[in-house]
Amino acid sequence: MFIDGDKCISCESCISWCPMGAIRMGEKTAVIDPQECVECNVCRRVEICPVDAFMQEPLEWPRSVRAIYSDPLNIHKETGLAGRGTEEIKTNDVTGRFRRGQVGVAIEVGRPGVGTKLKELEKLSMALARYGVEFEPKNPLTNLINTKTGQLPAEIREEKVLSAIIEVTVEEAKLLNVLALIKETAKGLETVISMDVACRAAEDGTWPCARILKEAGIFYRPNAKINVGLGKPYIG
Amino acid sequence: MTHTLHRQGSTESLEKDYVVFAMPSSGLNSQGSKPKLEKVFEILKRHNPVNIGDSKGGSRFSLGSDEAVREILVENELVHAVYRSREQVIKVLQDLKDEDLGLSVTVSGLMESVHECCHKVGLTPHTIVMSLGIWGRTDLLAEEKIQRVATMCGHGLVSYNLVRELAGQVKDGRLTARKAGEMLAKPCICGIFNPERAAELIEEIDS
Repeated sequence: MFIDGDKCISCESCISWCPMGAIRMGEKTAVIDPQECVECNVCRRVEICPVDAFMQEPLEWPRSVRAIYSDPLNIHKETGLAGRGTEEIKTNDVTGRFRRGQVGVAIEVGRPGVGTKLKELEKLSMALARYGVEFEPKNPLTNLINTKTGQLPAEIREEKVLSAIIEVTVEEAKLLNVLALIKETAKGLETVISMDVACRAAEDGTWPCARILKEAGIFYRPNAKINVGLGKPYIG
Repeated sequence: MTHTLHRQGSTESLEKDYVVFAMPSSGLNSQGSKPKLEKVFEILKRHNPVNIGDSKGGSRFSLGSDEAVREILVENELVHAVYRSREQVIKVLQDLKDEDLGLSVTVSGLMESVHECCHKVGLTPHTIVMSLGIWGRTDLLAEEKIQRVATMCGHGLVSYNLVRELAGQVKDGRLTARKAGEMLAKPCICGIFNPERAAELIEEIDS
């Protein structure tokens, strides 16, 4: 994204709308810092500019990766979905992706509101690959990760995005080890991560992941996201 | 995992914030799902949501009207709506259950309240995602009162600076809290931002 200097009237209306604070006043007009811009398209989409000065240049690889993980209206070719993650629990009543005895762990790097260079995410994906976790194959990020080493293509490591999600599935018995590994790795990050875990209800209707977290004294929020079981199981 | 999770605030405030959404599973029951999503939209709208939107097009506030959201519905996507009370969620779930569309339905909100809603309708919760909060460089985060507003857009499209600026305008009497809430809902294209809760929270911010 860039601002057409010939059009900009320096009204400063756009500056506060940028989630990454990438817009500032230059010598005469507003300008976008290309290093900080994550190509989320908010500035253009909200039509805050009275003279339509925001211009989108064609995004080429590797800069295009910024839009892929920052603009939720991008449709991922791997999943057919908009957004940054997968269907995860949202359709688990249909897909049966998360089975009893398994726990999904998702690490959203850069959220909330900080953003991240992808090299920060790679620190986590490499640590998890060394541990031997299974990366979720349908996650739009997984096709970029070398799932044996956790490495990302070198050319995208310096690219900045609003956030990107690593999704893995582990056996219940390994959940606390994986969370400890993530917590230790997070100490070396230059950004934040939003953490979540997912599981299917036990036969008695309780949540096994909640029990494990509670027993280990790990904080979780009182609000959650719950698939209420209205989907019809798919029998292929 | 996931755009409607990780909302922040007191339990009193979160008690007035529920996101209900429905979707097919890509490649399994997505073919021919558009009429079902249109039916979901009709049910969600019937119970007076404070926001409504879809994952591939936009929301009441980004597109300007609910009709504009309905017109751009396509197959294989999510339709979301935001409610302020358990009573509304119960009615929505009852209607969705009666309609028996076969699509997956998810509710984000206080766990105990969502369980109660399911119980009243005779539903058995299937799968959960729980938030463990924020780890790493938490010193880079905005003040908590700002985060409570901005995190209602899980894709991070609502800027911390915009929340601060509008809170200042509300404090100065140049803008109503209600208008500020609606302006903040505009960048959140999925329609999961709760503008009424934002209006309440923004009045608590010392600009």
